[in-house]
Amino acid sequence: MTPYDDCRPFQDQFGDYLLGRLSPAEALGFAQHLRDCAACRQALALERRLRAVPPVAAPADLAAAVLAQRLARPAPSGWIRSTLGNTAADAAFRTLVDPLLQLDLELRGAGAPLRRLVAGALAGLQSHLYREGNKLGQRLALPLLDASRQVRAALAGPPMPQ
Amino acid sequence: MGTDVQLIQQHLQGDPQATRALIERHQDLVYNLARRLLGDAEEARDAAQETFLRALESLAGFRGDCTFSTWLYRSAANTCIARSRQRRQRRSREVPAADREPADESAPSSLDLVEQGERDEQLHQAVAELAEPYRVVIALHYFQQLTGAEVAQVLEVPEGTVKARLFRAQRLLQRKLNPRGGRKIR
Repeated sequence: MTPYDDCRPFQDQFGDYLLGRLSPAEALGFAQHLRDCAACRQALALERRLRAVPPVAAPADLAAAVLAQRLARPAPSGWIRSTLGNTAADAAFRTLVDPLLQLDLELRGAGAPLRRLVAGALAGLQSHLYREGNKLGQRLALPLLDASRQVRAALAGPPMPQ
Repeated sequence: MGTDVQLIQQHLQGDPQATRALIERHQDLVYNLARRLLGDAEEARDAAQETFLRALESLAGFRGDCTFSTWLYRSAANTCIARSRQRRQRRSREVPAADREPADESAPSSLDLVEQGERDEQLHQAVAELAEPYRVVIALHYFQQLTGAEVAQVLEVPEGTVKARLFRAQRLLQRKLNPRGGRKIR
């Protein structure tokens, strides 16, 4: 029987042999060694078996499960600002807050009743966002709530005359 | 669909479609590795989920020193190793060592005697019984079809170490699968 260490150079070539990557001279030497070495024949059979193991596909709902679990997890520190915060808050400002700020500017000279009306509308928006937040998940709602609070604070400005 | 790097950037900007695409692109590879390292389908699913959750949370720290798949493989391998150790500890607490069934050292060689399904099962069982460093290199090299250099990158060890572990793992597998035919390992 061939000494154990003598087989190693051949066994290192198993992959190349099975993939047909050996040169004709190497393939010839390899075949001769295989003919004489029962241990290498056995090792090559194992190599074939290992390479023939079929891959297992992931469950179809794995991605959905990861995303759902991700939403359910408490947000790590800074997560909202670094991911959802930037985009969602920007979107909130563009779609909800910017028009209201513009309205506030236009109402500066319009007097208290109209400004109170806008502030009331924003309070309603906040409670709506809070209710929706329970459905959509706080991560999405928090930037929107934050944005609307900022607008309310801006609208409150100096104390309104009664 | 963009490259991994593009998807990562979009994910970091809060694009949920990019996050989903990133998971879907790599889920088979991660799950397959988990399944081969842990055996059990449910456990593999949990490990794959944990791998992705951790990866998504730490993606901002991904520096691009290696490919995303290499980085993800590393994370998956570490997650599976940790779970495997926890499982072993749980079992050793549940079943006293003296009561455990000893390995059947006298089992005859069955390479030519049993059906393909049973042979596969026997192979998976033999791989599952390997010590962790050998099981991991077998899974990455054969089941994930990574080259020695790629396995070395995933495990952050020299390529020579990977080759040595693979060589020894093959010897150990042969002994398990052919207890009477294998040569003694030095």
